[in-house]
Amino acid sequence: MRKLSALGLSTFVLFFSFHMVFAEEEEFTYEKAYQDYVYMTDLYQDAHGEYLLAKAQYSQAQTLTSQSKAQLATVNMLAARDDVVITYLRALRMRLLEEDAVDIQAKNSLFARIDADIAWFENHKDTIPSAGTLNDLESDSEEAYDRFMFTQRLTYETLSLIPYYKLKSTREDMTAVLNETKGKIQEIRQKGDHDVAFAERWVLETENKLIRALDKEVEAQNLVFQIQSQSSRETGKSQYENVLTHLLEANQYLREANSYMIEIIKQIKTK
Amino acid sequence: MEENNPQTHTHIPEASVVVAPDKPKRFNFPKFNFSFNSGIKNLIIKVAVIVLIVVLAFLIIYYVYQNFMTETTPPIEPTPTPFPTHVEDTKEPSLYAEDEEVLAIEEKIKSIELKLQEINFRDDRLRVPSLDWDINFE
Repeated sequence: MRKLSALGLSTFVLFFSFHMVFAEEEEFTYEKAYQDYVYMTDLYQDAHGEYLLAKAQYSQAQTLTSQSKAQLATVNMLAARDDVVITYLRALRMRLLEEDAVDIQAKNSLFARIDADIAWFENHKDTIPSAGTLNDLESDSEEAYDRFMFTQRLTYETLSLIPYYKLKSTREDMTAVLNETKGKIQEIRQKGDHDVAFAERWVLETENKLIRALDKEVEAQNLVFQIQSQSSRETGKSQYENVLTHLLEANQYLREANSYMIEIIKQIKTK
Repeated sequence: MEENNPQTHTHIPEASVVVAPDKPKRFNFPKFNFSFNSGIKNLIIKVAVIVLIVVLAFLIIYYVYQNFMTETTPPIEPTPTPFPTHVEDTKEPSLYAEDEEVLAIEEKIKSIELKLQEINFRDDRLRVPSLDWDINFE
């Protein structure tokens, strides 16, 4: 009986070990990173609530006990706040990673800066428990706030470049298709077996729209550069909003250009 | 004794008075006095009726004339700027309707249309987190 139990137990341990060794690791995706960020935000909200309570109690009682409780609650809150920023930056990084349209050089440049920011906040989080007084914790918080201003500009730059590159890629695809269409029209004109006058007129209209879309793209790109070069106290939010406005306008021109291309095909396919 | 002699006394009942039933009353329409010698009140009523009839007749004639006897010209409006529509054309297909290259280009254009519709400009999930940076114990 003992032998049988020992055999069963060893089989179980063996099986479990194999499972632990050979089980596939869960792939870290943008979705996973985003869920981590949401989870950390919830933890931060709890810690923040406790911090506010401890702070209120300390300001009322002004005892050593309330002070130490306030200090502990502040340490926990500051650490949770850093975790929110870290997980947010990781989610942002994964979002950028999974976006194929973004230029690889631009991606690598942003990755380097995002990774540096993540490292900074991880280091900051590790130093928080060493603070001895409430004043030290206030200084730690101020330090994180200064760094976060930089983080915000980096965030808005990243969030601007993702749709910018997607639109740029689509415009380039459209230009390639238009060139293909022009080649086909030229071929048909040479054969002389179909009237392409209307189609050629639509081609001109399409080209004009593509030029306007490109102009808006260039303006958007300049605004993104402005985010990078802003002063330390600027968040970059207003530039980000301007970028989106320009990209939306560019998108509208592209949609009009695409509808003209549909007309070109109609003109070719019908008498 | 006379009372017991049935031959000498006959009781003549009184003759009942039979009154002929009244003739059913006939409804008489009030007679309109068309005489021009009637009072002012009648005159006013007459004039009002004549005017009403004339106005009604005029309205009927006007309506008939406007709707059935005149050619109405539509208001002149500027020609609207033509714009491409995605309504299926009923035109006759050309030689290139089934051309492989043309169809391939058409598919690429449709694919681009989808891409343009799917571009998400504002990522609502990655809004900058809203955190409390105002930490002080003064």
